[in-house]
Amino acid sequence: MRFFLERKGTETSLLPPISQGGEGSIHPITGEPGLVAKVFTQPSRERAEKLKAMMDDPPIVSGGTPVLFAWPLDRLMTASGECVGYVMPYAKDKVTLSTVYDTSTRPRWADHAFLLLTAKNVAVAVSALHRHGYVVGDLKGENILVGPDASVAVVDTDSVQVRTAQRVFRCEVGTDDFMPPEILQAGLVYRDFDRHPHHDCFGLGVLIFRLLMDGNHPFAARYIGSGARPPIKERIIQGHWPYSNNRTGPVLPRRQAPPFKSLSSHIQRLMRDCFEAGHKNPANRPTADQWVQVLDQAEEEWKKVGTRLRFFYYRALNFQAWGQSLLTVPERLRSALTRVPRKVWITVACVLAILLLLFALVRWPRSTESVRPGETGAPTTHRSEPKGEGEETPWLWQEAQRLNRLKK
Amino acid sequence: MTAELRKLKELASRRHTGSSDRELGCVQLLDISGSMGEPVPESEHPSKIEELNGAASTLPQEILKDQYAAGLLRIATITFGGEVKVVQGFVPVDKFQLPTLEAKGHTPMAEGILRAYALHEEGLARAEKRDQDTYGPWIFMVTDGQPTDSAELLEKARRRIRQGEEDPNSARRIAFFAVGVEGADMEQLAHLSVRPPLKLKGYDYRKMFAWLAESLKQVSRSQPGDRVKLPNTKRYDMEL
Repeated sequence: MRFFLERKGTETSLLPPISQGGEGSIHPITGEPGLVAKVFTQPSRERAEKLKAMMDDPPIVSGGTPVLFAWPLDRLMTASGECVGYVMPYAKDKVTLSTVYDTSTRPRWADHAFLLLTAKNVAVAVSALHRHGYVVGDLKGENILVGPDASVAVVDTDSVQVRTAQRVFRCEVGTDDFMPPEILQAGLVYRDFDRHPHHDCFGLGVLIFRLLMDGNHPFAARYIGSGARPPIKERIIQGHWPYSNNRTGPVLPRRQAPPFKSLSSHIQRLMRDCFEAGHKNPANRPTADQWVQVLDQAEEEWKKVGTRLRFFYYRALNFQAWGQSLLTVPERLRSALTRVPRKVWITVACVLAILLLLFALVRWPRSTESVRPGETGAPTTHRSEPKGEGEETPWLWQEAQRLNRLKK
Repeated sequence: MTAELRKLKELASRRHTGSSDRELGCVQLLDISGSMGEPVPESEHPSKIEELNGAASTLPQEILKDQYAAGLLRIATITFGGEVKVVQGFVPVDKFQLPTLEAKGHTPMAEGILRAYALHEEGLARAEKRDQDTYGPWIFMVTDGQPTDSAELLEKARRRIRQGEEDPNSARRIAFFAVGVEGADMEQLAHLSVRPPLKLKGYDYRKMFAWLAESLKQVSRSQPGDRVKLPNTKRYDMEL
């Protein structure tokens, strides 16, 4: 089959597929290593229109954040003028977000700083999409890829909800784990309703939670009620969030999960907003922009605390005022010291030097006798001494005498 | 000392297994009774059991292609032929390893079924201890003959299967699939299981395991407790 690029107006040839899914297959393009083409198994008129709308308004990320969108760049046409797919940037050398948050597959070098940065970049990506009026809809760990530099790529973008002046192209898929309670409760079919950014905000909260809490879902819990544990979906609907300060249901945090208090206090606040306050009122859920801001703050905080103290900072002392102030003592001392003028330093140094000299000149304590028994045992006579007794003689004076004797 | 050691070991195992917050258990129940030693027409393998041995690695291979499913799945294997034997308890897919099976003895099918349910109970209790959510577990039975158990035991197994399928708690609802190879007593299987038994055309166990892997992948993609649309059996040379 021959394929043409609509915008570029040239013919293109596709290589055999690198992956095959239910919706279509992904093909590399000859001569274009940075691009791949997706060919639909069931092309439709609606899809073609949706692609067109997406191409006209691509999301833009400001501030040099390494975020890539596998966004349609050009439509793939057949000779008869039917749109059968699209061309998008290729997210190379990246793994899915779920391999990063799952501790059994997470690379060893991925430390807390990396996870914070990744979480921030994911929030930046979602924020950019929301700013352009898109809703991801199917936000999940498999639809976001992460590179070794914490760069983030959003893939499977042809499923996002696109709103144009005329109509809404709905997102037709979803994953229950990342869906807010109001959707789960209504039990709707995914293609039957419009998505809102606050639906994404719930999913974003879950993603960030899983990233920072060793892959545990925020609603994965230890069940302490009677009978068998209800499924996770039920707990999301009921709002049984185990990390809440108030007992919301018969659930406690998983015993395997790291302590919630090990997160930065700002992050904890947003998590509460997302899963506790946001349970009844979706408007309380933090937006992607709020997440970016707070994760930025947490990153700064993390860098500031010395490497050796981090463990204590986050594991035990967090949220306790004395602990935090204790850890900032060296920091505050240093800043106070740099404010002292040079004159004062010089004066202090001079005073110290004088004190040292005086100290050397004053009488040495008794214990020095035993070190020099010869002098005390046989007092010399040819030199007048202040008291005639070794123990009364200042140490420096004695030394001078000894040197004199040696010269002779 | 021993108490401390046990505590340490438990902590270590928690660290290892605690990463995933959910689990999907699957028991394969394989018939290795004497009739499995019969030769297969038009095949390079001398007997059915050889076919089965050759195909056993298909399941882990297929599932390992899907990293997400591989992280959730725990497979156990029970054989019945002469005696019921747990060949391997619940293990992650990458640790799955079967010894070469040998055909022998009669067919204590009902006993094997009951053993599989007992194994699942253990698995569910263990998952509960680790605070893991569970998908409704699966039992996948492959047989080529007729059960030799007493009618009483068969009735007990039949009731256990019904009870498992109709559990009000979806996380404990155990799905029982029976696959009959050429020569199996399909009527008996239909009587036993709630779901209609599958019939494998010929002896290509590979196709059957591929179907199982594909189905398990679908389940792992779903939510615990959801109804899952299983892949079409026709494409895998099986029929309902």
